[in-house]
Amino acid sequence: MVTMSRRRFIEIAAASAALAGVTIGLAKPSFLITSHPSAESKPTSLKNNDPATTAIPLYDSILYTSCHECDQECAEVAYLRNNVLMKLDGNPNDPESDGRLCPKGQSAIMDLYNPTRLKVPVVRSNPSKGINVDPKWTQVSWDDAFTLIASKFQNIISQYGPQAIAGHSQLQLGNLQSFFSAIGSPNTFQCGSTCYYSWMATQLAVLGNDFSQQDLISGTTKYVILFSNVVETIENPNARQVMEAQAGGAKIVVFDPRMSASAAKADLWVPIIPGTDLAAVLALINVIITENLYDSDFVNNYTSGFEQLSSFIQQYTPEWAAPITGVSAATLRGIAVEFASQQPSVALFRRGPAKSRGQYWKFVHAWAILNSLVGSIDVRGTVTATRSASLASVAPPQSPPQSYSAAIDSREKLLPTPGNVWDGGLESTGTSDSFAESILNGPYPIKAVIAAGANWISSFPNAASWEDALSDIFVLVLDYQMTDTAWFADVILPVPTFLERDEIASPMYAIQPTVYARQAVVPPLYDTMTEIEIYHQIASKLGIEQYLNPYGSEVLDAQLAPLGITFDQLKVQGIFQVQQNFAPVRNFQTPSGKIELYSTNFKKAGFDPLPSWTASPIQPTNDYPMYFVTFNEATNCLSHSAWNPWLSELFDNSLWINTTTAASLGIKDGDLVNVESPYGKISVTASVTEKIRPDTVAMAHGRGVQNSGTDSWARRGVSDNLLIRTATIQDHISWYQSKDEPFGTAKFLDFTVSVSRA
Amino acid sequence: MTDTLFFTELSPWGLFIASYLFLGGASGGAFCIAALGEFKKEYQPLSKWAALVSVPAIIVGLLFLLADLGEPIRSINVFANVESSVMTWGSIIIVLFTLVGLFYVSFWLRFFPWSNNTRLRKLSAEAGLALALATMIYTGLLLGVAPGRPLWNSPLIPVLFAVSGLSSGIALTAIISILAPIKKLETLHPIDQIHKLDSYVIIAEFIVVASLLASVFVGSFTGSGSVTTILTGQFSLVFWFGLVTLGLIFPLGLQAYSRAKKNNFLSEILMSSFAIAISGFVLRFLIISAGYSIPIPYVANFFDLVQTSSPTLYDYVVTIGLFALLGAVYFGGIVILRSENTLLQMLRKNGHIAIEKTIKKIKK
Amino acid sequence: MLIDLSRCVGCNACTVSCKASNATPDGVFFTHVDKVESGTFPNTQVLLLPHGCMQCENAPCVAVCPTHASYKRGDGIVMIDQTKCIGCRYCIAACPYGARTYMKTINSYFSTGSSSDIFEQVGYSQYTAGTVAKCEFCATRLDQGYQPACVQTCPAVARTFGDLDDPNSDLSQAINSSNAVQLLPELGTNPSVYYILPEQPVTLAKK
Repeated sequence: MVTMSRRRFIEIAAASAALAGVTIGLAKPSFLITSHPSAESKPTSLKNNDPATTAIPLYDSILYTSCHECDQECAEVAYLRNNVLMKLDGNPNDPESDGRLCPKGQSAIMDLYNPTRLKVPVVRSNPSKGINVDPKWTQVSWDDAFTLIASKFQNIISQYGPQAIAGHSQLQLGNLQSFFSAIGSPNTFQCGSTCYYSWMATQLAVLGNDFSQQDLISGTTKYVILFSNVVETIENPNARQVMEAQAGGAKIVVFDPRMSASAAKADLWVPIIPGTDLAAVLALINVIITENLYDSDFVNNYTSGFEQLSSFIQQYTPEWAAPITGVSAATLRGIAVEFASQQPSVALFRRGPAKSRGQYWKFVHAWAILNSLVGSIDVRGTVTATRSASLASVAPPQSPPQSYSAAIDSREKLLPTPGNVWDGGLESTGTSDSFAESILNGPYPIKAVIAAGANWISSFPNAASWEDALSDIFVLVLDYQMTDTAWFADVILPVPTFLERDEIASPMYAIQPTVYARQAVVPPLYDTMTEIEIYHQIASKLGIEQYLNPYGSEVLDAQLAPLGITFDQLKVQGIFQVQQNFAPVRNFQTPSGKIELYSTNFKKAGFDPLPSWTASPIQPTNDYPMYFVTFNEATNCLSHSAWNPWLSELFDNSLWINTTTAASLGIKDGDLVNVESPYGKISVTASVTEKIRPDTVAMAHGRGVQNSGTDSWARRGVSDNLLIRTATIQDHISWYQSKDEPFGTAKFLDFTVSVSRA
Repeated sequence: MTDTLFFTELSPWGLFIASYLFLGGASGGAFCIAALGEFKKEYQPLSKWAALVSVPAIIVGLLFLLADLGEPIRSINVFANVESSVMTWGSIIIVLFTLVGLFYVSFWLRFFPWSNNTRLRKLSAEAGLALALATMIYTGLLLGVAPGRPLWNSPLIPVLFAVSGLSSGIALTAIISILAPIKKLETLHPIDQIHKLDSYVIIAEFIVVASLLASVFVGSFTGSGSVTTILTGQFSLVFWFGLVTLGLIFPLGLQAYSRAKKNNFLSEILMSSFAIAISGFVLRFLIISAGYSIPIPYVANFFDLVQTSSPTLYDYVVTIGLFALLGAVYFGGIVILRSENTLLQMLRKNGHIAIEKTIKKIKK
Repeated sequence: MLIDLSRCVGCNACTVSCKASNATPDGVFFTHVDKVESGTFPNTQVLLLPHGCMQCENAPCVAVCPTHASYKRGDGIVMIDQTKCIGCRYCIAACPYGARTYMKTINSYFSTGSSSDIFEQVGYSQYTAGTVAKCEFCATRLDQGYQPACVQTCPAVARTFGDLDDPNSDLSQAINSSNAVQLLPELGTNPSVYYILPEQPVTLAKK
């Protein structure tokens, strides 16, 4: 990490100019590519008979599968030699991944063959738990493990009731829910409140559907405003869409306090003050309405509440927004005019709202209004709803007893989601950021937890409270790597990686209904069991297996039956797509059947029906003078990339700090600095840069593994979570009651920090 | 904030190659003195010692080269590319030089049947001289082929390495001659003479250094970067102290001091010769390190990213070990022939030896 | 190969794809995306520069190699015969593009060594400790009908591969129709990797 002085900048500028002036000349090197290779067609005759490269087939077996390094689940092709997985590429049959994979997808080989994987069931023999305490793992047979778990669960259920068991699955939530409805506990959670929940729920309230699928088309899309960082986080294929749209003439504008890779590639980077995106969007809406630039046909036909919006928006002029956002009124005005006049145009956001400051649900509402005003809702080249393939649902052979469902329906959930106030059909995932606190101080005892691929200590703030919460209860962890959470487990059951199991996958986004085959490209390397098998085994010990969803190849075939294919047929190409013409969704599932610019859902629940601006009460102070933002790098997904040496080698989670700010604090590039928030303190390497606002510091999320049960490279880096506050259920309820936050969003970044030399 | 692997690869060569180039040059330089003795009678007392300096130096140099190779067992492969590789030609030259050097040394060891054949000895000195010059130039040419590294690519580099090789060779010869057993004090005069010669050589060397740095600095953007790292950057301490002070100012200052006193002390020759020899090594190390770390226009802030290969413990141990081996060879020879007086013993007995006075005394 | 720097997003998918395809040991990269920033906030510029072996027509590494371990194939790819390399690193000294890596030892990513990972065990067997390795444009993949690993995977479609000798190839056409440049053309190496330079973004300052 190095800074560049002004003098050197002049040098690079001069050198670049000189470079640009270089004529290439037409003398071409004698470069003869004898075949035109493509990923799929093997040339029939090789003109280049280099014995070194043609003697042995590079790959002797090719299998189609689907990536699961992140939730995009790109279709991919696995190349094997002598039954060893040697290479992964995108499945060229898949128009979404186009035969391409991001670094995470490319790195999956190192997850599969990683020798630090969890290989056998183990139980702890050291009863005392701690991040620096050796659990003294003892290997047990699967049967002994299941007997132990079943007897623990049996005791807890008889003594405290089934709700004393809680679980969180990042593998397949449906499996966990099936198990929990069989035992009668309502307490299953997912990471929604720290991520997507607010974004989904607001869309359902305002638009009646999820219209956030990015669908940029080169040559069609003219103007894109990114409030997100799709290019850097590289949710393949979203990054490609942005770059191709730009090459096709679209102008890309990025709002970000930090020059992300997205901003670096953009036509315009707007380094906005963190947490003020809503004010900027309101100003854009103001210009579009007051200057009559909106798509009146779309607004008249498909929206309601335009009058209320028009009068509401008058106060939010660009001049009003300029001091709030740090963006000049002229800039905001210019962007608004261009956005509205160059059709199709679209605003996109993708980032977990919980990671932003302030009332993010209002930002989502404003974003929905902005796109609606230019008619960019479910239109090709803008944003669309996902077209999902309809699969047959799976039901257990026998329904759980009525008393179980009654217990579940009685809403005695440990972590209620306050905002599930209208029946939008959205699955309630619980305010999972309060999980630890609720285990410690909840309304009723929690005696056992299941973490299926979930790593709370690394993924949620306040690791210390998690360590306390997990110390005195029975912890069952299903995972393939030694997470910090697994370090606190009483029993760890190893699960296969996605490259060792058969299941049906579907892309997070697709314009045509699509399913992918996820097949075992190698037989399971270790003595592992899949999540659903494990639940079945435990349930069988408890005598309740008949209440669980069945699994196996017949189930996969049954699920695929509506598409007229079997799983074996799906494996041939790895992808099945239903070809259908694009018909825009125009029935919006809101009370009025239209896009509710003025939201009656919010109104009914007592929340602001229009996204009015309230400045965040948390502003820089003398003690904590800097904004703090986090981001996700291309080489990271959630917290599980730390175990991958190829990704960890490239990953850098140093603290970005502006050159001027660093100079005033006496910080040099590469110095160790202390970052302190009201909630915690970390020491991290400073990366002095011109790529960030002087009032803001940033660091990449996803590192800071602490336990010694894994290789040293996995423990590189620091976790941003150590700076972040934990909200309690009471916080969530009071936010809900004060009509500040309807969805239990975690409000992760509502704090400022101080930075000093270590 | 810059994240780059481009051109920040550690320099491929470190202590071993610096030592090899130093010993190769010094060996060639010492052989020049040996040959000088064959042509100018007054220097003949030094020929034997110069040859004994030269041959172990080139052999230990070759050991350094072997130690540096990743696959030394395959080193015979080096002779495969006679069409274009400078290293192949250099290897041929060095091997021939070593063989001829050994042959020349054999004349001074007396027990070979041909030891008394002066004509053959002179002939081998002539052949050896040609190969010695070629070796000295080659140590610079080796670096000269790298097109992307202006400091190495300069035509002045072979000149510099040849001149520096000569100065180091003279210095080592002076040291060994002073430490060596002698029959008469007849070596004193030629030692004094070659030491004076060395002053001119180091002046020439620094003229070449200055021209090199100046021409490379103005020659290209990348070159200016290398020169900057030497003059003011991370190598400046090595350059100003290790090279300029030790290799130029100190020996010349001492010389001037002696001249002013009209008396040249043997101990002073010893000291300045050591300084010159060390600076010869420093020069190789500096050129290797600074020349590899070049900036490139696209990465204009590259200067700050320059990394040099930091020697490992293994490198230090082997380097010190091999130099110790060389020292042991020299010292062993001296010890074996210890029955005679050495100048060193005289030094120990008499304190300073004022050379001019002593020579006058002898002449009387 | 043509690399469009205006397309590259610096995600390092090529880097990881290359690591997988070539099974390069710990710390060895045949390609990498360098990130170089310049300018002052908010007029900051970032150059994302993927680079590897340039497969020069006049390859200095091939010329200096004393053992013919570095050689050029008929199609112009500069190859390394690991059985001939003696590890003298003369090629590294000669390469102006930093494309070559000396593997003093073959390092596993894992403290338990490469024998604990079947992929490393199989993949690393192609390398000899004490020799030099570099990008060979995935010659084995090419000869067996696949694109180079970096080109195949590039999620931003920044890399194009093709036949430079054929003036009608897509690659040649693309190079001719853009202002593509070579790196350090003044050295006369005539690299086979061309770059399209990016236009820098406009940034709007606070006013």
